[in-house]
Amino acid sequence: MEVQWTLVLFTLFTGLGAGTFAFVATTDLMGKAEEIRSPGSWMALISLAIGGVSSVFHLAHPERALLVLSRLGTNVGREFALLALTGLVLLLYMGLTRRAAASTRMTVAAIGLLLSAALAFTVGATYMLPGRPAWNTFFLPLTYLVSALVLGVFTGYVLLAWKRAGADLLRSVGVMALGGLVLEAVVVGFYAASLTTPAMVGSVILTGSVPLLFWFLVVAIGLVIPTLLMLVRPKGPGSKQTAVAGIALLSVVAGGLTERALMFLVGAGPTLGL
Amino acid sequence: MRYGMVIDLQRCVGCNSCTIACKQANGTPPGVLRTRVLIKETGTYPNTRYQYLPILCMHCQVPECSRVCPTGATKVLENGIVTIDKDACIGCQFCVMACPYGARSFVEEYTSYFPGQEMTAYEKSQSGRFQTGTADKCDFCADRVAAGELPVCVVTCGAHARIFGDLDDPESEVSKLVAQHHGKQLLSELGSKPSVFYING
Repeated sequence: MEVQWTLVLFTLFTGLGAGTFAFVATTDLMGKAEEIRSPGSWMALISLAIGGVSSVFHLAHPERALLVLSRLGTNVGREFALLALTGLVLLLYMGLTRRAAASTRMTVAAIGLLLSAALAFTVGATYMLPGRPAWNTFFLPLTYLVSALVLGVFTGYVLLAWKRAGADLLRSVGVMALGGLVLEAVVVGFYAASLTTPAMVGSVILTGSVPLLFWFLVVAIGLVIPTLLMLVRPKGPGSKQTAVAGIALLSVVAGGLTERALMFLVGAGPTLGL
Repeated sequence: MRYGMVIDLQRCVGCNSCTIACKQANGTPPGVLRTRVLIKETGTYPNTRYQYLPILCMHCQVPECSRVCPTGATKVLENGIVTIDKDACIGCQFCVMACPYGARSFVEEYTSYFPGQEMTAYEKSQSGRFQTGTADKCDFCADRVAAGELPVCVVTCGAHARIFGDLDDPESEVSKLVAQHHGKQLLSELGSKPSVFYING
């Protein structure tokens, strides 16, 4: 089927926003990276907003969008509710960052972390439709979740590099980023392998018309290049560190974008016995 | 009362007169098909044959399209017909993605069949029946059925391959055909309980 670019942007930016909020919340709970708490929260909020706007552009009749409130139990309804809830908790967290006691802020951070993970997963789970065999696998929402977390870690890494964070913190985030990339490679691998069940769909990724997108943009650009950059990155803070972080973030964004676009290209329906 | 259809694959000759009659009666725009006939060639030359599979909305009792519809625009009526309330459709296209039978289309715009020209008088008269930016599908010609007539594809089929009636009535022709020929539903394993049955009569 055709790539639904507005939905690709919706899932990418909500993933970026949820992942960034999750990163900010996690480092807050660990008592680290205070310097990126504010810019990270803003980054997450802007990303979630762009994601929300993209979803509105997908609708042919956005003026009727509030009708979704009557059916929050549907796939789209759950997305809508979680996106709104995550945004509200993020706003609350941003408000508490300056004024409230640390314990209150960290409680909200923990809730935000859980909501962000739920949002990233739910956005992928929306597409688990029996009528689309290539999407109807648990590995699809798992891919969305891990991709969102990787996007968040790399956004956090860029902000830390820009803020000239200490070498120890940068090293910890580098290890986190590498772990995320390995996890993403495993999950994407399992998802691609699951496509071989309906042979028609598996052939699209492995031998058909879109392997270039998969192997070049998802694997090479989205996974291998950021991994190599993490391995060769400068040890201490500086402009080189920031440049490496920026390039790595662009790579994972390109990979994440392609993963989501490919989902539509492999999403053929059943063969109806013919 | 549950309206349903039986399609006799032994009788279908793949002429697509159902497809054309549906388009004519419902005035669907280019690219929108409420019914169509899938064709597959089997065997190797010279022992080859065509297989035909007419497809339309299956009017499932447990429709995926209705389950995923975020506004409740897609509903199952008491007579079993699955309908779309165009005024409640937000055009998210999730029903189009969710339908396992590819029976739904998205009406992006109502254009003429003749590119670069104004709509014909017929097209103008039909365009008012559609809302752009909404989903569309077969409704078993609900208006005709309400007036006591049969769906236009059933009336048009020269081979009498399509039979329409009440599946809840054991004395109806459709119920008898399903029982007699062990009617099969497409993708029954999905549990959506289609109201369209296929037989080899």
